[in-house]
Amino acid sequence: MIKPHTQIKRIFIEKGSFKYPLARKMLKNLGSVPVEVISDEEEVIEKYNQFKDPVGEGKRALLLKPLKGDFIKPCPCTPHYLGCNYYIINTDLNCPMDCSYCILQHYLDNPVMVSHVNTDDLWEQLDRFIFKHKSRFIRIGTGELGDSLALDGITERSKEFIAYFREKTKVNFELKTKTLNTDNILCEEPADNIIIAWSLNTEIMAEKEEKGAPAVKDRIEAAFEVQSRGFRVAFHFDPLILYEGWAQDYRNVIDRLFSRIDPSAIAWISIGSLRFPKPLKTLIRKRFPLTKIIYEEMITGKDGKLRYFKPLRVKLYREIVRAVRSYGGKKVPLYFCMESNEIWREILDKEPGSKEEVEAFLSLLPRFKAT
Amino acid sequence: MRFTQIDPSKIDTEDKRFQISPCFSIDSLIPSIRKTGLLNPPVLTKREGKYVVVSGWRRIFACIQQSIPSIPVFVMQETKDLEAFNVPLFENLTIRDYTQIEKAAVTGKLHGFGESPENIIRKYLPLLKAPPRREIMDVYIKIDRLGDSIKETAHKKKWPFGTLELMTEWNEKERQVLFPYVKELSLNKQKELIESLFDISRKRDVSAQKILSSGEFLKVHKDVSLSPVQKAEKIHSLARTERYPSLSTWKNAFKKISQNMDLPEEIAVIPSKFFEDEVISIRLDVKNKKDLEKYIDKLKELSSKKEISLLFDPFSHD
Repeated sequence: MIKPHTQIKRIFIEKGSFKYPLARKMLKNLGSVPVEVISDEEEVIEKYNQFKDPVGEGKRALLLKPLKGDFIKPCPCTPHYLGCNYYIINTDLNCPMDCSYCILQHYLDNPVMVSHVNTDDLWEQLDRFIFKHKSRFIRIGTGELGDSLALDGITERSKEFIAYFREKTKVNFELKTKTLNTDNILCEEPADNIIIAWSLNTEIMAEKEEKGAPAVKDRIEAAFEVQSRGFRVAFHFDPLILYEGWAQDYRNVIDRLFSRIDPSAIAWISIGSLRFPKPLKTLIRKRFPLTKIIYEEMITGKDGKLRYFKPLRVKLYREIVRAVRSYGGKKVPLYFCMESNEIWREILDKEPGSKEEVEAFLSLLPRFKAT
Repeated sequence: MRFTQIDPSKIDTEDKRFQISPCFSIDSLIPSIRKTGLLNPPVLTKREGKYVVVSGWRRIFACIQQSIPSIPVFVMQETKDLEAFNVPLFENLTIRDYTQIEKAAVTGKLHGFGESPENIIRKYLPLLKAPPRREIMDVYIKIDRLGDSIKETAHKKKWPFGTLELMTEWNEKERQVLFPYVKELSLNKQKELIESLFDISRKRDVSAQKILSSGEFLKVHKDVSLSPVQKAEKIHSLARTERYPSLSTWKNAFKKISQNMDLPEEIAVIPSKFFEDEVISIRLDVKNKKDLEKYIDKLKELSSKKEISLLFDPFSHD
């Protein structure tokens, strides 16, 4: 399990950032970790580019700085496949866990973990964003460019987010994690529009490919506790990974999931298969020489990324959906992450046609009530 | 720097410490040397009492080949190799882009001459139009240590960084087994072959030698009726089939269905790339309106055949 307090060996703080209360709180919570004041993020990037493994080294460092641009962005999804109109809040970037398949290794220019400490700007931007979209449902979360709860022990952001979004009933706010860092959440009063989500995989994949992440059974236990507190939960079977014995292993996880979690408290389950930009393959090969996951039958998808050959994906999805439906999740809303209309139709017998329709379906608007 | 005349045969051309290109052709230079002589003096320096070439390898070899008794040269007084090396490095940078092999040579030599990794990354990699990262420097140093024959081929054929990087990840024995096939292929196929074999090797935990000396690969290797290019093409195709077994099965199934439809040469059915889309393309080659009408009728006839639905739903075979 990740304990950022002990893993972070170095803190960088951008000049002028001491004035932010969150920066001061984090420095206090991190105790005696050495702090270096820098004038520009580029200094850190240049420094870490000198390391043999900048990504690995970056997981032991934290940069505190204000975000000068927008906190809220549409989820980038991927071209030529169906999105879900999700919005992401970029508060903390990067992650102390080291999953072999993680896109962030390639996606982020800066390999160190970054916390954007100008929270007043965040709330102001959120107010404006929600007002602008007041006529519709919104799904938004913090777990896209980093784990939502990995640093929660030192940031305590989850408390503030829950307090903020509790009243915003047309917004479904999601905290997405692999960790067991739920102490702050368990202290809060639940609300229907606050969803705590876990990324799940098979135990063997978690052990081999998700370095530093807790066992899957423990994640399910954490979800059970959160659900027992009254929160809605969600799960992301993403990335699904093909290997010998995958079908039984995924069935086992889904069986365990539904033996602990009440399906009616599950807001959604997303499904996606392993996919990544081509340059990431080289990086994975170098950083994780023992991994075999990049040697399965992957082709170049319509978005230029590597993904499993379609018949293999169909087989994978069919098995997962069958397991979810038969082990207790008959009515749980399921959706695909970055898949084609054909896959939706073939596996879920739905063809949303647009990301707005996916969003409507997941927000339980009348026209797409889950059946 | 001193300007002087020397006999080019007295230059120690075996000392290649400052040489960046692994090989070069002097053919295009000969007519110019014959007609106007050497206009641009090469740069030399002295090491252990001998003249060594700092820059101007092609000019010197062209003059030696033409048996010119004396040529104008600049002689550098610089005793530090690292400093002297900046001359050919910057001289070449102003006139052309380096190949990946040359970039590797530059990086390897800078490293060998004692330049700090920090300077190589920050100062030199951007000059070479390479990302200023440690991992890139490390790969270039490994590329520079590849065998001469690989480097020469890679330089001449301008192999991309990714292909060379993969080559460095094989061991020397594996490279020796692979190289005779790789060098015969086009750039794309070179990369595909190296990558496919690499992936198969890693997935099964077997060496390239073992893959290439078993089953169908061995048959191709032993087939004396095939030319080196034909062998390389077959090895490439076998490697792709092993690397992508399901895709190969689907491709073959699609091909078989379309063949069974007995299409005229002018009509071709083409699946989407990697069967990722449901859509298939039908290509029609016509010379005139009459042809068009004829084949439109033919297409109507085809649409009534049962095989056509198999083409539209190839996954129904699963």
